[in-house]
Amino acid sequence: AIPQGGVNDAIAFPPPSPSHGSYHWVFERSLSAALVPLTAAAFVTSASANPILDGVLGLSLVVHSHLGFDQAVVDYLHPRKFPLLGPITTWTLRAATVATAVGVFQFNTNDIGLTELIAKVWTA
Amino acid sequence: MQAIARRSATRAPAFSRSMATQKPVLMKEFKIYRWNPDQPDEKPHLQSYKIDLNQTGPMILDALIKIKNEMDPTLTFRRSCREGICGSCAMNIDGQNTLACLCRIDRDGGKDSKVYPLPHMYIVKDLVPDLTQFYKQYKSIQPWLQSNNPPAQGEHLQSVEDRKKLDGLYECILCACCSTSCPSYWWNQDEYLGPAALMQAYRWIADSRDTNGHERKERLQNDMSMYRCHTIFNCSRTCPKGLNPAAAIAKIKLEMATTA
Repeated sequence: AIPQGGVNDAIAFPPPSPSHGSYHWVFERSLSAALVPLTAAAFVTSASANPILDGVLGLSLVVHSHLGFDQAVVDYLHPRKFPLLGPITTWTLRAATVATAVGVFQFNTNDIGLTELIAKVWTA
Repeated sequence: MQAIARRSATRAPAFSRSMATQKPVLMKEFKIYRWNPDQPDEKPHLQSYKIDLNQTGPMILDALIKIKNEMDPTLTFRRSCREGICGSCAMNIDGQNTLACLCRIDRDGGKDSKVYPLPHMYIVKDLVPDLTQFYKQYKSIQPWLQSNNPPAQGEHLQSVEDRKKLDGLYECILCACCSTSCPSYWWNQDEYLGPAALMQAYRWIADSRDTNGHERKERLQNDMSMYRCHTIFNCSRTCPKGLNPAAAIAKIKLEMATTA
């Protein structure tokens, strides 16, 4: 790290933004916690009887995965060190998330749905 | 057991009693990272030194001083108190960040000991890292008491329970072992404060005499200064003073999540 400013100056902080700070952190953890009962509930019921549960589970999984990958991009491909590759990766991730969300919605609506898909693993 | 030995010693023949016992030679190899800024094009390399452990003090710092005194005066490292309180001799010994003055030499002469400077830091020379950024980060958390209602006369009073909350926080000697063991700090040193500065930030947030806790926490409300911590826990594992920066960071996260 090459220090910015004088050697005896404190480093500067960006303007505070809870949406990037504590709200983001709380949302990430709440979603992770909520996925536990959601997955359990989807596991014990059938998809055809609970399409809304299926939809909520699909959406939660997509958002949870996006947040996880986004943290990795911020860690390893931050724009300050990767001025081109960083933003490209971030936007690629966002596009991929939207595409996945659309795909999951289509799959749940017009096809068997996520829960049924996983359940098929156990059928003979 | 000792009584029997003593009795047999008085019965031993005169010539063996008067001979002083020689210490056997126990050679150990130390491979030490060297780099000279006066010859910057020469790549950093490991230089090998073999010393007799039975003529050296027990700690790695004793070995380094012996090498510098007797074999290679150009070997450069920071040191001061030699008792684990100043934090100067922080370095990476056999893969662990610790203080050289507190790290015992492994007395297995068959194995070599590798001494590197603190990881992922710019090096001034040999084992001396550039800690400028580390100190700037410490200064940025404003490590002094900020109170908007000082007592009319005398000192800020504090109960015994409130003072206990600072135990495990104030003892930090700012050696930088923890921050330089954190992968998040390696990749994002510019903007992530690191466990040392964050633990001190919590030391002031948790101090009952300080009234600026809200501003202290506001400064951390961004995605880099504190939230690059992913509870990797290398910091607490490596702290040579046995402190727990990871727990302090967790407490800040909890306070920011519940009171902001």
